[in-house]
Amino acid sequence: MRIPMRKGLLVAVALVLFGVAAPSVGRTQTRKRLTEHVSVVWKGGVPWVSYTLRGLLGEKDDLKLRSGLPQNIVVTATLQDKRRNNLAGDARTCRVLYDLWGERYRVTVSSRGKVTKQSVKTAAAARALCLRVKGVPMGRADTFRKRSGGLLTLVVRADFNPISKRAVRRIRRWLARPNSASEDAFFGSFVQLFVNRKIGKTARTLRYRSAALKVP
Amino acid sequence: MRRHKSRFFHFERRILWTMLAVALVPLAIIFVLGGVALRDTYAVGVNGRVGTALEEKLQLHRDHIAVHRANATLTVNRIAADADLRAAIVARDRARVSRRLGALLNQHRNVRSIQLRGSVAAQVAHGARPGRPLTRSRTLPGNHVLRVVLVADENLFTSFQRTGRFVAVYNRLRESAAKVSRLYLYVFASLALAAALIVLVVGITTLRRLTQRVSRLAEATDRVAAGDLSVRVPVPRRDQIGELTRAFNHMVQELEESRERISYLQRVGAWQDIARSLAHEIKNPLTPIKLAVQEVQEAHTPSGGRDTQEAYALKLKEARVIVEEEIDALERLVREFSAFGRLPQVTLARASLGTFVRENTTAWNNLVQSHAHYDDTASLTVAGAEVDSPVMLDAMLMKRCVDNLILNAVQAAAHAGFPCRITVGLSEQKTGVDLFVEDEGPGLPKGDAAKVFTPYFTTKAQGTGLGLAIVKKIVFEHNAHIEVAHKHPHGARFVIRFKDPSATSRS
Repeated sequence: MRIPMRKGLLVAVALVLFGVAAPSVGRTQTRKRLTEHVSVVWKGGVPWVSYTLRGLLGEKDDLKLRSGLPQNIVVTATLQDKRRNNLAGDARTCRVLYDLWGERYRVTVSSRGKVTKQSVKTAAAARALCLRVKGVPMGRADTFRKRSGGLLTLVVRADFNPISKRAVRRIRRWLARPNSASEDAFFGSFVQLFVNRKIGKTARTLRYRSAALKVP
Repeated sequence: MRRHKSRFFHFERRILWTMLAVALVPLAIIFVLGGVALRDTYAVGVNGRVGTALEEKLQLHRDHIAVHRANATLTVNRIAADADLRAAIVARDRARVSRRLGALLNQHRNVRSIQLRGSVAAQVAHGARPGRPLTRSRTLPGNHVLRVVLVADENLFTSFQRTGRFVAVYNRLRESAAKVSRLYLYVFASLALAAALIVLVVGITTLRRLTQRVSRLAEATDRVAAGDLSVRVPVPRRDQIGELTRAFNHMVQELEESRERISYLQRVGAWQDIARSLAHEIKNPLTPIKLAVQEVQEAHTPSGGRDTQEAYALKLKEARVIVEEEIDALERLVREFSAFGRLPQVTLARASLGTFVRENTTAWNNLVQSHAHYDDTASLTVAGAEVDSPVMLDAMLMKRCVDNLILNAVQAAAHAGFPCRITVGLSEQKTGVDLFVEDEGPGLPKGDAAKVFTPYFTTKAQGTGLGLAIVKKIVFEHNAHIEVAHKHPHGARFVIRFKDPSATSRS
């Protein structure tokens, strides 16, 4: 079977372009489903959501938490209608840093511009602080008022140690100046342009989609 | 012109493909080898052994901090167990307690402050001991509580965190080794391709200029071949193609000048031939007329007798016959010249030569029989009439051509006493069809083959030399070509070569 030369050339060009345009690979992430229940309490027409990110971290991760290096969890929760339109959302980060000197876990939770710092003695307590989300108000009352009687779904996504912008910057700097000299590396300068957060995106990812929740 | 464009397009395309092959084949090889080299190089720098070493360094930091911490605990225990301090507390001597705490503070460089709470409270502190604090408490006799703030060098923790970040980046790069080395390869390939494309664009631009010049030259050559000698090609540059163009222009100019000279000389030569032939043709009848008139004048005797009168009348009658015959000859001469001069224009139409031959076979047979009546064996044979190739033809004028060739053959055979056997036929060739007329006569005298089509050239006593000239003119007007050759063992063969009309229209 003979492929026409012009067609072959086009395919080759397309492959090259695809290769150049799609260097951001690396989607090796673990996907698990949360098994813990989700509870919603409606106060003043606004849903207050509680959930647990069970399975994202376990005892097997205690060694990592105890490493003395910062461990991060990024959680995004979204309320969606039947058509999967986002109605309200919440994003939070939890940073666990084990203080090797003080032998305590410093847990910093950031949500809605509010930062809460706590210090706990055990890894289990640190995990609990990060994985249990209690009574988070989502959205505004007028958003749900017109959807009274409708069904909502809570969609949660949690990433354990996602690569941060700062880490991407560090990797880029490393690639651009591999010898930490003042002179840029020729190829590295180009390569770092294509490095993005998809390079080793995250250590672990959990996704959860709740059962339908009825708007009162 | 289209043929030229197409030809040059192919020419260009071939060069472009060659350029592409020359550029891309080594590139592809480099691409493969470069990929392997990149992976290897990357693996040398980012591999598990380095990762392990880095992890060990990190662990070393942890151990270092743990040692500091153990040391801090030991320090606190030592302070709490200090006998002098305990004795001072028991003695409830505050001043002594303060002194002892001060001594202990100076003794342990990792202690920032010591506080004793209880009934004998005291506190000592060293303000110039920076570092990360760690508070430890111990219970001493008499419900006293000892609080010691210990410090560790902040650099220890900064260095640990820095190493941690380094290890994290390193581990990311190691985990993404395949992706990152692939990125290098993509960048390398993109840059190489971009370079190849730039080279290609520059190559094409340069090539286009070159081939356009060659194309212009080829077009000019076509125009010259078509007879237009006024064409000149501009010479924009003094390179090899410029030299070629200049040589071409020079050649065309020379050709134009030569053609003018040749044309002039041919015209003069033709007029000379015409003058000579006419003089000869006119002189031939004039001499007998002149002689007849002289004889009549000499025979005239005004005082002669009856016999003389009768002899004169007879002479006059003979002279009249001679004059009339010669005037007839002159009239025939004028008629043939007139016919040559008034030869009609050829009107070409697509027709089958086979049909043409078949339709005229009877007429040509009659022509042979009427002009070779003296020869009982006279015959006309037709060959290859089944050939059905179409040609552009003016059937009437082409018949006149073939008539002339047949008459020429009959007269030649009769003149030399050869049997009059003539063949008219067709034969298909690669580039068209041949129409031939051949005889078994004496053939052409050596050296006459090139002259037989020249006007007024004849070897026959009664010939005017216009028959074959007319044939050649008509053949040329058919965009055909006529040749004459000797036929073995004797005879002549005239071949009219018709071109394939489809090829003619393409060109």
